Amino acid sequence: MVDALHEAHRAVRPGGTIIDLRPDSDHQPRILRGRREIGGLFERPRAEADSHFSDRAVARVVREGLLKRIRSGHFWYSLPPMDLPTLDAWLAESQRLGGYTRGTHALLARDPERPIIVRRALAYGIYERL
Amino acid sequence: MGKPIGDVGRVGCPSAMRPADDLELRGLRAERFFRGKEVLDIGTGNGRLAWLIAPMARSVVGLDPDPNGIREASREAKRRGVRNVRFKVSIAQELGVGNERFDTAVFSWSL
Repeated sequence: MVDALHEAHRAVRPGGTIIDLRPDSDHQPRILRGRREIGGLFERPRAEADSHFSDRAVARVVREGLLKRIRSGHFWYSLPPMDLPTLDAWLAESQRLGGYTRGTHALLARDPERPIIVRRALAYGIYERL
Repeated sequence: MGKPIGDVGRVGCPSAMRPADDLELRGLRAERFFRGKEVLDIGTGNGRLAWLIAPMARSVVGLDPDPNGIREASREAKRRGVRNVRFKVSIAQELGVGNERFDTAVFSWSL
């Protein structure tokens, strides 16, 4: 990841911008029915470790004096409504998400046809290329 | 309701469950870093973000290690007749852009 940041630094003009946008491991996905939050999803330990590794890589390149943080943060977005079998299938294939938080699936299974909304957070960092 | 609406929820696809519209760009509030700029989209996948950036950018180069995604994106570029976007297979550690320099690089879910 440090290598990738060094390579991006090489490819961007001085004074240019490098943007890092990825799922936010500090804010796990939430599950809503209607407007009510009823549970969540959790990330696989490997994905969480990768995310922290990326955070450290960015911090290192900033310390090296190659980048300067302009701003960072996170924002939420909602996925289109889906039913429980679709969400189950997605989670089974997901390399990032490991499953439902405790009790969530049981609640969803009571009414499997009712639309589910997943809200995810994306983390971003915007950096000036020095 | 079998499947989600739009271009998300393709089970098994690396870009599954990403926003289908410009939510990411709006969330970033980073238009000034793209408008009139030469942009590198690292981890472009099928070009999903590149299509959103292209109308405001001077040019966009989308890079991804997945040849299938790049093939799909290149086909789509032809279909749309977009002239300021091109795609290339490459990895983030070795972008393969030679001496070309850009104003903005975006790691799109790829760092």
